[in-house]
Amino acid sequence: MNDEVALLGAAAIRDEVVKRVRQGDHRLALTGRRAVGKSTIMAAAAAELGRSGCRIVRTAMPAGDDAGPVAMALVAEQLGGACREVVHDVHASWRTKLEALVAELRTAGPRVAGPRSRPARAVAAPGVVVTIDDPRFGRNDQATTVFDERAVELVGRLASLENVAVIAAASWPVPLDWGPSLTVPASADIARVLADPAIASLAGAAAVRELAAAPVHRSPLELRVLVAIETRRRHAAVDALAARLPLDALIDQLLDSLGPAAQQGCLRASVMRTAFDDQALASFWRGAADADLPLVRGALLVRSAGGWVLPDAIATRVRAREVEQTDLDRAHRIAAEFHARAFTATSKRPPQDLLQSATRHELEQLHHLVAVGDLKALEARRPFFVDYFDAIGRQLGQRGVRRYGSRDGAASLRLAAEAYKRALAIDDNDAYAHHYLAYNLDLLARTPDLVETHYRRAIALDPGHVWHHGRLITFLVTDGRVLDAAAAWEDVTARFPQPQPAWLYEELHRPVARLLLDRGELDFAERVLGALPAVADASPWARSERRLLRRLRDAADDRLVFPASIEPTRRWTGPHLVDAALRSKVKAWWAGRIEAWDEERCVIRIASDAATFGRRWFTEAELTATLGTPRVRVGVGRFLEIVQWKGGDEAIYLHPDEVDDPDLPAVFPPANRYLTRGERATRARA
Amino acid sequence: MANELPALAPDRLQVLVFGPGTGELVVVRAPPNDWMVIDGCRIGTTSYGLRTIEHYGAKSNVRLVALSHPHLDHAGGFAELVDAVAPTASPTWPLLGLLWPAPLTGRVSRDAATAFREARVHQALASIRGRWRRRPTCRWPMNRGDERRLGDARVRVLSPTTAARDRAFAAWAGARRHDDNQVATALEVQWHGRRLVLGADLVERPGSGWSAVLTFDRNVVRHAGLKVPHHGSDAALHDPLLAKHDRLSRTFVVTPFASRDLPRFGAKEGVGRLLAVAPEVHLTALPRDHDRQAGTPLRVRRSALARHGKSWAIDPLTPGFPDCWVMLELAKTGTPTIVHGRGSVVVTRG
Repeated sequence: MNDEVALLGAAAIRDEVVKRVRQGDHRLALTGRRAVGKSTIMAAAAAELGRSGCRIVRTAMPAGDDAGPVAMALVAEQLGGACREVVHDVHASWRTKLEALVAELRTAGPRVAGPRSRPARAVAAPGVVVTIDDPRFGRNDQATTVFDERAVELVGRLASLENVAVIAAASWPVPLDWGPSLTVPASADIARVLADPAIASLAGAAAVRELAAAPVHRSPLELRVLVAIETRRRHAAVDALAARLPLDALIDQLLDSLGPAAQQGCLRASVMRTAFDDQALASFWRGAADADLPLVRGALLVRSAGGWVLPDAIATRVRAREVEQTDLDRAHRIAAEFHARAFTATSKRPPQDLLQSATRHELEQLHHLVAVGDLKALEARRPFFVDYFDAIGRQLGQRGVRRYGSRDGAASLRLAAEAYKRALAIDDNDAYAHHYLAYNLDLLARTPDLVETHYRRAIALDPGHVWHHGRLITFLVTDGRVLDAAAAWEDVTARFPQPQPAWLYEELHRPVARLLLDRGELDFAERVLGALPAVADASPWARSERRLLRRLRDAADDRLVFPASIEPTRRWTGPHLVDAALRSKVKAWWAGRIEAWDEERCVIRIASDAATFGRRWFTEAELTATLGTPRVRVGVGRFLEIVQWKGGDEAIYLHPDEVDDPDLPAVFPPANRYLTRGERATRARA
Repeated sequence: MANELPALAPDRLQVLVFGPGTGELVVVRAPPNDWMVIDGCRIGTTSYGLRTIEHYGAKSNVRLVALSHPHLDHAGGFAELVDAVAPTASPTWPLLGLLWPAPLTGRVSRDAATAFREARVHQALASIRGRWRRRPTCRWPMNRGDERRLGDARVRVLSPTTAARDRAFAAWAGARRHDDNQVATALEVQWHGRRLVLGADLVERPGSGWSAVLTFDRNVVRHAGLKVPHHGSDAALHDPLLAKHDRLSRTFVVTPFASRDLPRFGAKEGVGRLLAVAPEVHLTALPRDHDRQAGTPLRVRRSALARHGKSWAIDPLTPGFPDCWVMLELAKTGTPTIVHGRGSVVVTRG
């Protein structure tokens, strides 16, 4: 059960953590908003526990696909010995590394008697205390990637060790079964924030000090941004507060007030996941206007023990703005250069902060090379986690998807496939790499046999991953093997019996049914949609796919004479295109659809009731006359009604053009990719 | 019984032609027991080709399967058939024929009916292409003159010409409009010196498709039975192919194409032209409703079917598989025998 120890000061929370660990709590969490001091409190508690004889191991899980590897490497770095060697072994699998780490931790740090100041009721502290910044916890409400799973697995294994206490500092909710959770409150000490010399020197500080005296809570970051925009334009802070602008809007105002070079600097800093030094700062903001630099240093950046940091809220906002891919790539390249330099420096002179070790810089460099999609450079650095090849494969694959259909897109997909081949060369049991090698080859649509081989291998290695099954099934349908697809569907439905979390239906049933509809496999599509539980069946995509299924059924039965806008129950209550007041004058009416045009005539598919269907033929002149409009070519598929008035006249009324169903998922990749590639359509094969 | 498919006659070549108003399926059984299936038709999602093969328990005896051309009305139920007769687990597959590359629209039509038919064409193409790739030996590229054995019979590809294929490919590659009936694959089945011609949708105009066939082999005109090309459209009827020939009776089987109002019944068009040569023409169905649709085959004079004015043509009331079929049976000697299924029509002169 979670405890909420709110409104305690930092020192009190630190003491509470120490006390609980000594009492035998093996899992603790500090939660609260970003930048409220969780990590600081955790470090202080760890230091206290360290003084009482516990072995302290610090680690962190950065945002990105490599959270698990980074956290593992940092732990191994501190444990050293054989464990470090295994973790740094290029050829060792994740599983081997994890087992080596766990084995080392099991034997590490024998239990030590309590500290001098141990409370009377305290029991012995654990041998090892592991602190984790931003740990990942398992989730059941969405699909997870292998990267998430590795991070979650690492946290889970650490937390399962009897001689290890794990303290987590998280900005997001921790699972209920994790253990006690202490909330660190946000408390902006206005005076302290504004007393920071970098802030105080800005012209807007005084005005903001007055404004902030109002009894409205403001975060330190908000205060800093207010000072910055006030500095840039007098009364800007007053205006912003009067307009009750949210923090993102304030940040936007600040960013907009900067020159282009300063904005580029912000982008470069925003990709950093660690603190950076003055040299990096200078290179990020090279060319920035002199007037911008004080704002950057004073309001945007925060000076931490490890160096400069761009707060997450600002970094996120910077990346969320319209950013050119080339600028983003440039930012990652500069970041990679910084970490390469820092790696060399820290290799010679280990830093004070364990989280800024040489290994961390090495992995950060890899992270940025992954972000750029530079497979060659990544390979040259021989990453000791196969995950980096998986991650760069993902990065390149996503670029390929974004530019699908272009040469650049195909080049990215080919590189992605290469990256996964590299991963498999190191670890042939990497289900993720098998799956995505298959997927990228599937998008390229050149080597379908390899596609099937790797999809099936991924399933064999990790049958519990629903994407592996779903993509094999859609591949088989695309390849014209519906019976094989149906057999694979039986397998997957047996493996994931109902009920399943909602995301599973979205990841499996949605794309499978959509492709089946696209290929006119209506009975199969009905089976897939029929397997949806009520909650998934009510989702917009499912309703939309069902609507399409009904229309295609009508089409298959050659009975398509009403637009989708007319519900089946209302169909024969027409004519729908005649004013209700005039309906008494209608002798007969037919629902219809333009079916085809040939050189002479237009064919109209018509029905007089739900059971009586037929056709009529009109020349263009006849159609124009009956429509009562100027000469117009009505397109195939247009719905209409033919009305015969009691006076004997006949008229045709057109339904409005149908609009696309916004909830209908797109078919991706295009189902005909294997038909449009391969042999060139230029010469007969005589 | 008209409600059932006829029994197999071990010593006869049997050709079963289905055409329920939209779509065309030709199933050939050659003694001793080899089968060929050309094209497909369906009602709803029922594949007539697959149901026929299942009815006769002939899945493992299907030797040749082909899509004569990738048109929407010929691909119905075809993919299901290919999937069933060439399953992954089976060590032997029939030869799978297709004119490739085939035209693709490249976009999904907003008209659901067109989109559905295009989807089924694409699925039919995929079902063959995938299998060609996996077992190249099953590829039947259907080049003109290509001959394949079917039991005691031989099947020969009559069309299209290489030039016609090149023109089609160039048009498709350039996204230009093209009448794909010019590259439909007509086949000839020879058995004990007798010939049957399966005309697919090959047209004479444009492209002079039938002239090219007769240039290739004059003897094609010596057929004992003709599955009339392209639903008896005037553009497909080539007089030399239809003309009377010494000691040979003419047997014509036509499938309708309801949305194109084919075949026509005027004295000098469509069925009228065929009746100038043969005393009767066999239709798998009428392109519109007739009052004995669900019962025994209808026998009717041509003039009774001629233009129906501006009134609307109610659909054939297809009662469902097996319906709208005509079987042509060929003994080693003698005139062909015709068996009619429900929905079918015999049109006579007058």
